[in-house]
Amino acid sequence: MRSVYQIFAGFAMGATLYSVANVPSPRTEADSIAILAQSNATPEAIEVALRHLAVHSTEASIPHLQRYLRMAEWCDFARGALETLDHPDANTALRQAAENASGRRLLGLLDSLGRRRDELAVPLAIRHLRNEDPDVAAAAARALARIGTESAIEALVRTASELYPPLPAALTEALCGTADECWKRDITVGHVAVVLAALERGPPAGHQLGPLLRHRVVCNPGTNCADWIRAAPNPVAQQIAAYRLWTDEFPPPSNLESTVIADLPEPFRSAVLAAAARTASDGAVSLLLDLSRHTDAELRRSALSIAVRYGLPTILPRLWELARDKGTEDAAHARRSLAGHPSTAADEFLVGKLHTALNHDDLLLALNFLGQRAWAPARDPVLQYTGHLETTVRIAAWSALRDLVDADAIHRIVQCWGDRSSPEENTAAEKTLISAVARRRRSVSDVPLVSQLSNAWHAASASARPSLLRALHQIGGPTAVRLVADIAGSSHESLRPIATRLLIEWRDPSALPWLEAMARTPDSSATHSLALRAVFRLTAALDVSAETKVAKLVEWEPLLATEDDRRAWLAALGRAPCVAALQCARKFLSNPNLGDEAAAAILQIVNAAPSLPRDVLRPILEEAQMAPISPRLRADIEHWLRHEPPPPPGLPPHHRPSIYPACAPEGTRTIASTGQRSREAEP
Amino acid sequence: MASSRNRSQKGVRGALTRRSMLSRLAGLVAPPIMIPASALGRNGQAPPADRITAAAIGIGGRGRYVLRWFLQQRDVHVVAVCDVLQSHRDAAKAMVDQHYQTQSCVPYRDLRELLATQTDLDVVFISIGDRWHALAATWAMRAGKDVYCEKPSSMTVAEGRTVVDTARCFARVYQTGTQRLSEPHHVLVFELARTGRLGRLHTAYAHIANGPTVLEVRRERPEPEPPPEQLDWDAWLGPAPWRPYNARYVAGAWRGDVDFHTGTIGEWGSHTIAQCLQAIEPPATAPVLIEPSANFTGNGTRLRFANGVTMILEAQSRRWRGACGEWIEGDEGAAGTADGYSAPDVSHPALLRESRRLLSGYQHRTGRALDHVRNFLDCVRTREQPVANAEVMHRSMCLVHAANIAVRLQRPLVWDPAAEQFRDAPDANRYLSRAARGPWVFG
Repeated sequence: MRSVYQIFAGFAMGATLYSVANVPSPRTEADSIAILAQSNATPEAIEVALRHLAVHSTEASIPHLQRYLRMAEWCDFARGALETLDHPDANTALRQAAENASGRRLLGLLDSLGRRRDELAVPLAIRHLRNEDPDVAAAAARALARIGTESAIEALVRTASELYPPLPAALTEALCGTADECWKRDITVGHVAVVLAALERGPPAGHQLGPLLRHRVVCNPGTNCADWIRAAPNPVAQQIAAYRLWTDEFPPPSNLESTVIADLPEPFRSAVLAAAARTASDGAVSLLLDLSRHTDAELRRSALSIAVRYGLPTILPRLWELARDKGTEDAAHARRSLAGHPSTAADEFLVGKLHTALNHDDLLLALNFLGQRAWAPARDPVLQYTGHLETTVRIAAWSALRDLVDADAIHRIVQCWGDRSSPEENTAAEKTLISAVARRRRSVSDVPLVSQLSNAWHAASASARPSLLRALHQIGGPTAVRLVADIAGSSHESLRPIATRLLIEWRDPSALPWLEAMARTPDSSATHSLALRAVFRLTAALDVSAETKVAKLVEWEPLLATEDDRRAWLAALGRAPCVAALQCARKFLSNPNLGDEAAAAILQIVNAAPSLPRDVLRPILEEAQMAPISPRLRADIEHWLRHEPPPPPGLPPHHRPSIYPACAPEGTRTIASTGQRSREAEP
Repeated sequence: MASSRNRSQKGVRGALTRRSMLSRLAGLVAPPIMIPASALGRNGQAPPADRITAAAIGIGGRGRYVLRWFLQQRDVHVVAVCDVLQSHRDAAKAMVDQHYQTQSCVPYRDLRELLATQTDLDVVFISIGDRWHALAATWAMRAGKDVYCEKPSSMTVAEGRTVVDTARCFARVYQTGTQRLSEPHHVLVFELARTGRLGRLHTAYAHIANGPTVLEVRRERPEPEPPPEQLDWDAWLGPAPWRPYNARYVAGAWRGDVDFHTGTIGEWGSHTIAQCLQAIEPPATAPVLIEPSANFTGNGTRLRFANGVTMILEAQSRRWRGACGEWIEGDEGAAGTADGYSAPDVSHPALLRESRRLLSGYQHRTGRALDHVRNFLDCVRTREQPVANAEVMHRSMCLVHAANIAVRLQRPLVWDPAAEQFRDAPDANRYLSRAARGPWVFG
């Protein structure tokens, strides 16, 4: 990217130039004409008037513009105004000016006459076809090509036959342009004449062979393209020639056969194949199918890749045939190609294969591809296979569904949530369910979803139930928490540990009452300690004041049994920035095992709330400085004491403007309106 | 025969003859054959047969930046540089020569001379001023070169059409330097929108630069100065209307001038409108209603597409934390990104859950690298179309030009992409082309 500095410097300089002074813009055509008629108009005023007329002129301006065509300094401006003016007198003005012009002025005038397709300029252009200035001669040739009348074509053809060989590049290009024009306008005789004039004695020296050869094939479908391509003056011309033969502007030639293609070097060969595939014609398809059976492996794969890139559906049976072979490079290539085929025809083809698969391997292969392609309509056919008799097929179906499902499919998944004996199948099914849950819409209530999972719970076997618990954990919310908590407190020996673990890992404050109950239950196991820490974590994250958080945490102090519990408790205090938290942490500064945690909590509070009273902060920090803590923490505290930051002004210290301003246009639906994300007001 | 055998037998036995002594000495003193490592592809360079030969056209600050990108590609060999300014030529030649540890880079003043003499060139990369982009690209493609050209790809709609037709007629690979179309975090936004993860799309925001867009009123010319000897001022101006030299133009004041620049909308919009189009994929031939902003900055200009999506051009927005951003909104989510982001901003984090999968899906589907220069070079080899090919860029640049024209005329216009004209607005249509100054006319 251009440096932003560079861009703004440019704009600034431009703006400075602008601000120095500027000539008032004329409001009407008459104003501009009046300026042009003045004998004492400044150059700036003339330029402004001419620029204005480039858009706002009518035939009234033509005589005035014509006068300025004769002046070298203003010719280009006046020509610009006349070139886009839709009036025949503009042609006359340009022609008359060109009669007496030379050099660059003449070149520009010829260019404008050509762009206006002024038929009356043909004699003038013919006269300059042999101008001693090659740039002017080229401009005359281009003008004739653009005008494209019978006399213009005849003049070009005659000059070409007189000058040839070698034909100047500009003239060849003009002939190319003329051939294109003839083709567009359906001028058959002129078309043939132009193409023959350019090609009849051999290929042109430049890169125009391709465009001309294409026209030649149209004139004479029996043209031997391969010979012409081989005769091209250089590889680039050869490449262009071959490429142009297969573009979709014209019907494709029938005589470029697979044997000719196979002999071509790369990347020329791929270019021709790609261009053929782009036409998607029957000839192109049969060519690619022929090549997909070629003995040269590289060519075979290249043809298949190109057919896939352009989404040709007729290649699918061949790809399937190759993909069924195991272990060969062709099979691996075909499998990648089937997975990446861009057309939905490939999805339909694979669903068809699913229904008509004759054996176990075909079924697995089709399920695998459908899973990779993640085509939503394939969901229901694949879902049917989760109830298949064979375990391997069921596993493949669950795996395939992973990227096919969304929230809408959850009820279908839950319906299929039967008994499963294999752990692999369990894992595959669980991943699919979790994937579907993760794709639920945030704007839609989760309550029906939880209810569906709850119903499924009762129908599911013991081995399939942990997956439902994990899905509930993924969803969150009070209802899901209550369900999991009930199981954690139930007598299910196998499920209790899983539910407890999920409850402890929950980051949802709805889980707090259950966790508090667990933490208060005297228990020597690690669960008690983990629950306690989860309570501290969730308490610190509550949306209440810091003082309330500290009050809740202090209630737990008598239950802190181990040093790890106290560490977690101190960490939670650090996230409640208030004086009470500081005082609580201060008590542990002298403890050699917990001094670091206490000092860290104090520093965290001090940094998060610099507005706390300094007379309270300073003594606590000085005490911490003297406590048995690590040198790094001490250095931080010393730094704070030496460079005490000033208390902040009114605004909160970490206020950052939102990057999602609430300036959605009228009548459009914002994210806020869908309830997906709240937008802050633009600062 | 016998005598020669005898001599040979003597030699075998160890007797030192004059001839055997000379031959042994020759073996000792003959210099070893030195094959440069570069010729064998052993110094980090590809072997000569696999190299893409390249030339840099326009090698000022930006040009040398692009040159560095190309020099980093091991299969590219830069053989020539071209600029109208002597100091730029010298600096770029020194840079190339130092990179290859040779003195072989050829400097050119005239682009036409470069194209005529360096016949073995495969690609050129063009970083001259905006006024030159389309013309230089057209000339290079007519000479059989593939082209990597900085944005904007054209100054007018007619210029853009010429570039597209030339690329097609001469079967050339053309890529515009809108590199964000290949950057992963931008591609991710396009894919999120394209695959329906944002729901039905309704609004796209395209970031444009700050400042006034180009005005019709001509700016006061700075005092004419004699052009320095090392600069070809006529060639510097190229197809733009003549004006006397002033050092400030060359230093960057050409920006914001209607003859040389496409204004604030073109400066960043040539990137960001293309980015939004990649995401919203409006119908290619359906008309677009353009409602200009009520001022000359272009900020707030709206483009309404037939598929119901509105694109809003925004400058000075807090929507992005970097330059050249896009922001796409749909019924079910929103995503956007800009320079300096490591991942897009999204309305809900689950949208980024499948980032890797979406990116690999994009690469698989398109076969394109997530590196703009690499994508171009790959296409030079495969002859496939790169991501910012001539047609794609012309389509987005048409909207840049159309928005600029609507802002200039201060009234809503209907752009017809199929006809490449405005509907019922003859005055607006007169802005679609402009006469080039001879001899710098389009062929």
